[in-house]
Amino acid sequence: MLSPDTRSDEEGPVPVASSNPSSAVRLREILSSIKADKGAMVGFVIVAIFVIVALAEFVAQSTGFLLAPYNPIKTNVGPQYAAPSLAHLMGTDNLGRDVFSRIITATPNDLGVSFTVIIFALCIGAIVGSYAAFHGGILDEALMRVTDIFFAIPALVLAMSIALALGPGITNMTVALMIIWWPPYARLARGEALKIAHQNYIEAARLSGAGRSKIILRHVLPNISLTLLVYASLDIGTVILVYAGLSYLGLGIKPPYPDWGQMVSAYQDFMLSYPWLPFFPGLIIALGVIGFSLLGDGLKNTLTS
Amino acid sequence: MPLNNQDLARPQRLTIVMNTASFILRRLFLGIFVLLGVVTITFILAHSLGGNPVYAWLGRTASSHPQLVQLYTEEYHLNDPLYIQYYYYITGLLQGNLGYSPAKGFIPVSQVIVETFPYTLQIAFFAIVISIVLGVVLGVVSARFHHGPIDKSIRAFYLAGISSPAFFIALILLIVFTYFFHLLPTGNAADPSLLTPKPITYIPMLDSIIEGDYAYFASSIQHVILPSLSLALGTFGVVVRVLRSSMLDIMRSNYVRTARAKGLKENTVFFKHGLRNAMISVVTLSSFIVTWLITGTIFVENIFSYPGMGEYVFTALIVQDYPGILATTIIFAVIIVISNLVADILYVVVDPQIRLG
Amino acid sequence: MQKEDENLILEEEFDRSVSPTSSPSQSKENELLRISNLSIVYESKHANLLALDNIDLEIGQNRLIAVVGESGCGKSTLALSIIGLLAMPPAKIMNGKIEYKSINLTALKEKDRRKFRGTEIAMIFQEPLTSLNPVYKVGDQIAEAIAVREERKNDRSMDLESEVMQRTYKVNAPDMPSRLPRFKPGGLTKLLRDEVLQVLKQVRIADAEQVIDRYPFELSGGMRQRVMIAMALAQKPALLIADEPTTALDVTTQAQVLRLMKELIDEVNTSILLITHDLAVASQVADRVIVMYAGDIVEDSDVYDLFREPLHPYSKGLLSCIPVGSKDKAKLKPIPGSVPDLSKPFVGCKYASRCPFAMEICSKRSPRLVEARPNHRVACFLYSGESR
Repeated sequence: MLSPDTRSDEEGPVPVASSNPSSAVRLREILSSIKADKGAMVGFVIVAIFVIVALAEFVAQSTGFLLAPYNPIKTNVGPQYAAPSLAHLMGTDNLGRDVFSRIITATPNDLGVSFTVIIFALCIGAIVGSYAAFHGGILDEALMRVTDIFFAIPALVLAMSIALALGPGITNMTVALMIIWWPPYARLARGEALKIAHQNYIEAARLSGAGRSKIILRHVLPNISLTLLVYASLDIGTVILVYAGLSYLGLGIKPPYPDWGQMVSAYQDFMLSYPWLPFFPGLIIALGVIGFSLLGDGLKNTLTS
Repeated sequence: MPLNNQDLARPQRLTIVMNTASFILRRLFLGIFVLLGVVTITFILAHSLGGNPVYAWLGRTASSHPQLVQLYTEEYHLNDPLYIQYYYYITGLLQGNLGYSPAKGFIPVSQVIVETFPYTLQIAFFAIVISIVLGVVLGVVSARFHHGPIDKSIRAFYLAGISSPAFFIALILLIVFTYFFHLLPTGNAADPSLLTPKPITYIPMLDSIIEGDYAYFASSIQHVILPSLSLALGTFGVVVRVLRSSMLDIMRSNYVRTARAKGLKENTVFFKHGLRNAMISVVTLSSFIVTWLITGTIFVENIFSYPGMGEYVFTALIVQDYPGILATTIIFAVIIVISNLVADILYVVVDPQIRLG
Repeated sequence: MQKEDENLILEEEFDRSVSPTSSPSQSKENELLRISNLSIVYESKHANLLALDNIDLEIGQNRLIAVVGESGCGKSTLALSIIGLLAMPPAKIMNGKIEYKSINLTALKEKDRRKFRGTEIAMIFQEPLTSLNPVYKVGDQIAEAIAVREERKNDRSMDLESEVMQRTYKVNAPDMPSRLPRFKPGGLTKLLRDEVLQVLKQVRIADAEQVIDRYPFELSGGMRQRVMIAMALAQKPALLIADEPTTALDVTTQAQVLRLMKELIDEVNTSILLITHDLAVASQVADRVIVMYAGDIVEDSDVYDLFREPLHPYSKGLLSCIPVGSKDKAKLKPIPGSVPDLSKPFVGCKYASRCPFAMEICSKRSPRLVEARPNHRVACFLYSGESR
């Protein structure tokens, strides 16, 4: 409200904060503001744990090394239906398998699917959207209509239908989700590209004879990437939820290999007597999504202020 | 001092009506185009089903019966070129032919949908109502006490809701209310010993009210509340978020300052000037909510054994009832297109700038 | 100023000098608002900003007082504090009081303070484009203001001196029926509609019948500001505070709105406190001008006196800033230096660092407002000898 005009015409030009600080400075700014935001910190910690576990498990699985306390597939490593205890942190299931180990082993699945889908959607969406914005005309119209069609079917339903054609399994589901997931990013990229299309630096690039592709690659994409990344960080959770749903429906990894959604579905039947069984995998899914949501919110707050 | 007529230019009433009508027509055409696209997608999918397009109409199991295969190949022109098949596919759909459901004993899929859709509608209705009421109330409270502990706990609450898969929420509610507390029944839309009311509107709960069969209605409420609540707990969060942010912006706005300067009570300012404007932003959410509800019913109806369309989809998936899955995909798209159209109409009603500007 | 005006001024001066009341304030009877020693601070984590520093001010009936100053001098804070819309968590009243018709507003609780808003003290704001609710028709919003007034008129339970309220109505109220029907959002009753039309015509809106059913976005900025004025006047306040009402308007519309305000002063029984940064605006409409600088009132005088003989160095500087004459001959003379940092405790006269007449005492003590000429107060050691 009260902003005294402290400059007069006789002082020199006041240094204005640089609008393009170096990336190192920005990264530090981002990190420090995330630290300040308690919610974002919690999210960051959760995501870090998930990512570390996923990476470690991935390495372990590729090299045949067992990271989890028990073999997730081997039956009867403990008594059946054991309640959570020190020996079995999340209890054992109907086949005597350790639930905790199964959950850890399944971590790279959901995270891997989510990251793959999002990265693909980001790249394809950004490129398609920017091109549509700059070419305009029929390409643009076609993009709008195609995305409209994709928006009309819920992701899960469409993925289910594609599963009919491709068959179930984690790879097929990842492909199905990749096909479905890019339209919102293309729309967003198009919108952002249109917004900056009239900026001076774009005009300057065009005047200096740069071809359309070059303009897009060098000038447009870096400037719209911020908005897209913010959207993507909030979107990761959604992919996790959709894949968990697909896996619950039996379209993900086939048993005996563990997958969170599939575990909930399988243990559901024993819910009455042993309620912890479906509870833990479901909780882990929720926790993962919460972590990514909090982190995404934190990123959104810092990058848009 | 004479004033410009420019200041007062307003389109005549006829022009307003025509603008609104053309707006709605344009959205309608877009909707039809989208549906055409969806249908095309399902057509493509139908032809990718492990090689034999007959699956699209008969499902995997029955396709091993040679006479049926013969019958269907003729009826759906499956030996003819693709564009002819496409034509018959579309005309078939328009006539309501969605194939025959192996999961339900080969009765027409359209019949299955007619039987199950009203129940899903009941769940969806209550889910939306609970979602909006809960969302608005908590959003207002959050805005009023923003940055305090109440605001933070509400945020934690709805974050848990949006982040949990629908099946997880449903399972928790099931355990808590049915098994621990024995409060609410599960399975079926109402007590099976009660007769379903006469089909007047084809929506059982409405029909029971019309007939005066309050026992059925009461039992329906008992059975619908848990599934609806499971869905609502997933969607109320976005309502809270949007409303809270909207209210915070609005209460800082200039016209709220004017309202206070007029000497209005703070309550009046908050509701009549604040909330009224914030509700406009809730309309934007309808698309997201409908999508979430559709996806959620597939799980929730199965868990609560509620005989709706979601439950049918779930079953269809397990027994590979391809006709059912393809048909319900189309139906879901229709629902979404219609709900978007309704949202657009709501915008026109609620925001005078869109109506007249 | 023409020669004839100068003669007129001299005559007025002559009359006033023999009047029994030599103090600048009007007699107590006609006094509407009296601010004594008001200091307001904005508290924040980093600093405390002194927005108003021991302000003394009086406003009488049927006057148009202009408060002039650059941005940040505290004039908006002053305006908001009078009507009680200052956000009190960051803002805090350190000392002083605001008395309206002898009632100490600053001592009142919020729910009692609110009862003065609109019907006693009204305010219109700078941005007409966003100051009206976009989803309600303009007529409905004015009717809402009228309804507030009528409810208060009938509400005898207000535990304030009913004398205060009645005084306004006795002076201002035309022959209105004793009970107006309650305001219903659906449509306006005939009585309400008539009054809304009347007040719209009062602000010179020719097509009142059409405007009453319009939404704010269908009207231009100038029209919206008139509607705001109409809405404020509809509540028949004794004091209307106008915070830079013409700043957001183009020059032609600005002139129209100012002329309207000047005419209204004679027509209705309302005083106007006009906040502006533009001396030219003040010169067109005000009876009295108060010049503020960095939270202090530095000069308070009749408008002709100020322009004829500005006393405070700041006022002199401001007046010489106004471009006069043709492009070729005019030289722009800005005031060198800058406003002091109000978040640090300050000793001495705040203007001293920029003042061409600064003396030693100016950096040691801060000057008080004294009456250097009849009805012309100034806070400057050039005119006051010793001070506190």
